[in-house]
Amino acid sequence: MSPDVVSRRLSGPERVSKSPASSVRASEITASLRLHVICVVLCLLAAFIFTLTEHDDHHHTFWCIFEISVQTLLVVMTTIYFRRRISLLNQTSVVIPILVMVASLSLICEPIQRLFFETGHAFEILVMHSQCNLMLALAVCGFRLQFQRLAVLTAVFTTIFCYTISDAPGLLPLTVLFTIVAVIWLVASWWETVDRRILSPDHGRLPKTWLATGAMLPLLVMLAAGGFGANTVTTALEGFMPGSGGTGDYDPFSRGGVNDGDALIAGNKNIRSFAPIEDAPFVDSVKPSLYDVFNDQFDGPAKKIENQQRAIALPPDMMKHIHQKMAEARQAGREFSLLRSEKQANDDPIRDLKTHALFYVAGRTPVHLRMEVYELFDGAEWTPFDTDQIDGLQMTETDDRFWLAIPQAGKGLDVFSGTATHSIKNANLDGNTVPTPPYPVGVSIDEVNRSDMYIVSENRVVSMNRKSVPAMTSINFVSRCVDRTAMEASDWIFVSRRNVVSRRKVIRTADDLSDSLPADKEMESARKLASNLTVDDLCVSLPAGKEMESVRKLAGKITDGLPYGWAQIAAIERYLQENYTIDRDTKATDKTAPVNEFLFETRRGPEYLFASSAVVMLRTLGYSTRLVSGFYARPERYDSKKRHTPVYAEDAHFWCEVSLGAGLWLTLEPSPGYGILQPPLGLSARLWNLLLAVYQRAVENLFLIALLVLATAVILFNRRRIQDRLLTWRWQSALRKAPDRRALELAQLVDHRLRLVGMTRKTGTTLRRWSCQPVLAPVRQNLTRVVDLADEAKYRRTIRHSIDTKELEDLATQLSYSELRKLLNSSAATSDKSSAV
Amino acid sequence: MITNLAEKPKTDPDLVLVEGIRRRLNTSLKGKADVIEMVLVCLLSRGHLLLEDKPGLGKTTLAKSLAESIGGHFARAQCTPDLLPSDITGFNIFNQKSHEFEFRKGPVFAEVLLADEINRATPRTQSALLEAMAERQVTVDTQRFDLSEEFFVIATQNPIDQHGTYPLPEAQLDRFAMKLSVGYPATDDEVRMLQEAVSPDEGSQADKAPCLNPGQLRQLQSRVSGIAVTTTVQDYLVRIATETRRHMSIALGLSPRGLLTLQRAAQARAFLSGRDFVTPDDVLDVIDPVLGVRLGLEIREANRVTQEVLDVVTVPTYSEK
Repeated sequence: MSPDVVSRRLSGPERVSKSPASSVRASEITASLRLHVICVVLCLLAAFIFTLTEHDDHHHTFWCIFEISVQTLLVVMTTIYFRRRISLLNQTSVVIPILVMVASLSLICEPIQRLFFETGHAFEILVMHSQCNLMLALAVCGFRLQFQRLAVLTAVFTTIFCYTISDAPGLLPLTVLFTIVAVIWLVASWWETVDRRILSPDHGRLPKTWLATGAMLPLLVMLAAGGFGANTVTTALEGFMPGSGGTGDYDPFSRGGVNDGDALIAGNKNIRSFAPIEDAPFVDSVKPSLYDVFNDQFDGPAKKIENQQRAIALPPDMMKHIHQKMAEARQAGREFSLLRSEKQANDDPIRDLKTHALFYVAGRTPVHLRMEVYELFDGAEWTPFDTDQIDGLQMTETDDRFWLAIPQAGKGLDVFSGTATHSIKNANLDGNTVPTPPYPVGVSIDEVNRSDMYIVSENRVVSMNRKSVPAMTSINFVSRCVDRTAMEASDWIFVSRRNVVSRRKVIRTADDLSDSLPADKEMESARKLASNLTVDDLCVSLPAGKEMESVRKLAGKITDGLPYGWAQIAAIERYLQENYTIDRDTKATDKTAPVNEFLFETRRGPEYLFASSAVVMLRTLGYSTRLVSGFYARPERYDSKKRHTPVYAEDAHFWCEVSLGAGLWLTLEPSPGYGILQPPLGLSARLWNLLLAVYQRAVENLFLIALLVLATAVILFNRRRIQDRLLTWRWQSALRKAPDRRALELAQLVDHRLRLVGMTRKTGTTLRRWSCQPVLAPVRQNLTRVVDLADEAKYRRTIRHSIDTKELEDLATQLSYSELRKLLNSSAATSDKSSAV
Repeated sequence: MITNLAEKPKTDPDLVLVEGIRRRLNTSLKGKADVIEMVLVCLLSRGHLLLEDKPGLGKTTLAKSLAESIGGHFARAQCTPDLLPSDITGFNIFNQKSHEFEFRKGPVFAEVLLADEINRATPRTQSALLEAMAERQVTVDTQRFDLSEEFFVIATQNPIDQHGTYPLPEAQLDRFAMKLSVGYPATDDEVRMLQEAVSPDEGSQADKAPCLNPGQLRQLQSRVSGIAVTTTVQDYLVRIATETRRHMSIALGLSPRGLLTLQRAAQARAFLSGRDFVTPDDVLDVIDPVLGVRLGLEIREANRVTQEVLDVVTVPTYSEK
């Protein structure tokens, strides 16, 4: 039989056709013991890391060690057991149900645990638990390569997850160790795959899945980077999971979030400090407090209380008597567990944890916290207008909490969208005014059940009906959010034309006053005048003088052609943001018209100049506007560990508000770099924002990305050449080995090269038979020689003592990657030509 | 599907002997080098051969030439439904002169037995061949007779005309080493055949002389059984056998006896290639006819299933010795 006959038979349809059964089985490759062991070690490491993460807020060292030992023992024993009985688990129909069962185990156990033992896990930990179990089960089944790969992938995910959410001690070295083992697995796996030569049909082109992955990878990386721009995944993904916080939901088993799960709540044993934690027991103190205990049993308090002000009466059983010095922890959000072992607690000297922050904000940021509202402006000074307090406030009780219902402004206006909850934790703030978020609807302080403890002004600024808000008081707010984007979209006419008319009246009156009266009387008269006007009317009044004309002109120029309403307001706001610079060191030198100086000369200044300019400009256009001072909780300051945003003295801020009518004042932010709290975004909006952020980041790093893409493209394009180079190096290093080894390595090299040029040999075919294909006819003699040498080396009983290295090198050169490639290309060209003919 | 047929100068005297047989067979059956190669493999591995093909393709010619070339006695049994076991094995006859029963040897006592159309014989007669093929002995009336050491059965059967036939049971099929199909000759070979028929060359007597001396075949066979097989190849053989037992389309996988036959055939193939060690290629060269007789499938179907089995079983790599 001639070789041609052989090749005809080989390339006949029967030989080429691949039955589905055989292709399925080809994927069920048994991995070597070495690779399996590495995989098991890798997965166990990931499981250790997860166990550490799971216990990082409890510090149950014993349980940690116990869990790790049990799972290690279990995995090692089952691995040995099943490795010896591979056939038992070699059928997918057996393995899959086992895997599903293992994965769902913790999900099944959780309700039982919660029901009967009243302990449980946060949702994300539960999901990860089940994934971790699945990973270990897959590692046990890792004798099959497909399971092993899946196990390693899961292990990598688990490790990345744990590393991003936890700061458990020992996590870093374990993660480094994991990385090293993972790299070892990768290398071992690659070499093994190369050695085995698994050989799915390779068409010599980039498969579509590769291309898709290549295109998706940078996008995913950037999405991740865009999402993780904040401190941790927890912040980036807040609201996606009940345990991650930000949703306002309460999960008793959560590890953090707005409501600060139970882990942050103090215990009641061996109390040694005060901290701004609600639900903590009340302890007697000589410091001023919001609470007082009428102790009937002991005829009054034992210690004299300094500066006693109005307080909430508490029943005696709510108080604990501690006869020792107490520390204060003014820093909010510290995981301040009072459940400590007796010995340790007595060893450490107690000390106060001090902070420079005025107060802390828990909840979504950025948020403007109002303290004072100014309506009257004489060109240089702002004066607040005496507003009344709202009477008849009612307390409501929900979930054992007393809430003061604040009458909502802007009733009937369809501008609200969603609510926000904020907790203000006072640390060093003096006075009785509470920094109040805009549009509040409810306020609550623990155990304060009387409405006369609060004062709420018409401006919706909450104060306490006492001299000061005691330190370490936590004040909770529920407020509404205004959807500014919806306002932009709708043709919202919110300021009545009436204001335009009254504006003229006020200006004229002010002009008269300034001419006839001395300066000190001026404001008093203005007040008198104002008492006849509504707040809205008052807030369009402008200082007298010609300076206002230039401001009016500027405002007219900015809003030229824009319809009366939101468009004009937004234009003014944007104009200031875009054309002026914040500079707190620039002080106004012009005593009479600092606004004009800011607008037309310096073009830089602190926020109060921005806000004043906006107010003045908007007033010239006839809008009711006012200046607001307070604090700005910066999102940049958010501390993901403490889950709070500290507010310092330098966060004092000025902004302005515009009246929408019906008593509702909308926050405007003319200062650049400051944001306004938006309604909570939906998933699609959030994703869209993420995409935008990614796009921006991509544009910023265009050069780097282009370089990366180019490098990736070059590597992908030359991946076969690079592989060939690596394999050739390996072969060249083998030239120093025994003669038989050299011959064997040459056969392997040739086999790899055939794979690289796209002539992947099937696993069931020998190299000699594969070389009978017509395409390889020109090099068949060389190939046969290589196979002859290798066969002799491999299957002959006697050991060869010498081999012609020169011949081997010649063969390797004649069967080089480029030569084989050329051969294949020329044969393709010939077949193309013949088919064309 | 045979590889490595490069015409190397045969320096080995044993291979020269085999070359003589090969040439003789090639002369009598033209253009069927691969079939003849397998016949030689079968002969050297001490296996029996089943030829399955249509009538008139040269099955009998091949059997006769083989018998002639190895120099043994050739016998032929034309199997029909009324053929009795004793017609195959022989029978005792009463000698009137000596007043004793004497044994008349049947065709099994020849070196080469051609059982033509074996599937036409009744199961009883077919099973009479069982003992002869497996153990190279026959028992007639409790008396045991040894057969020739070189006893070689070539059975033929016609796959087309199934009327009035008794398909061979699996047990008997397993006693054959290989099943081959001769197939139609190529056009050139047919023309050559016609030309020779017009001017028949009677052929010299030397052409009909046996190629082997008595005992030489046995020597060749024992040399084949000494060809080295490494554990790597043996592992490969076992994996193939295991896979045949798992395959969905195969009711009866390769038996241990079949596995031994496969190894022996691979050894013979290695010997014919001039090597003293077996490679996976040798196994692949002989696997089609060896599995073909055992899988209980039609030849083309058997080849397809065999290929499926081979696709799954990974051939040993050159990674380490």
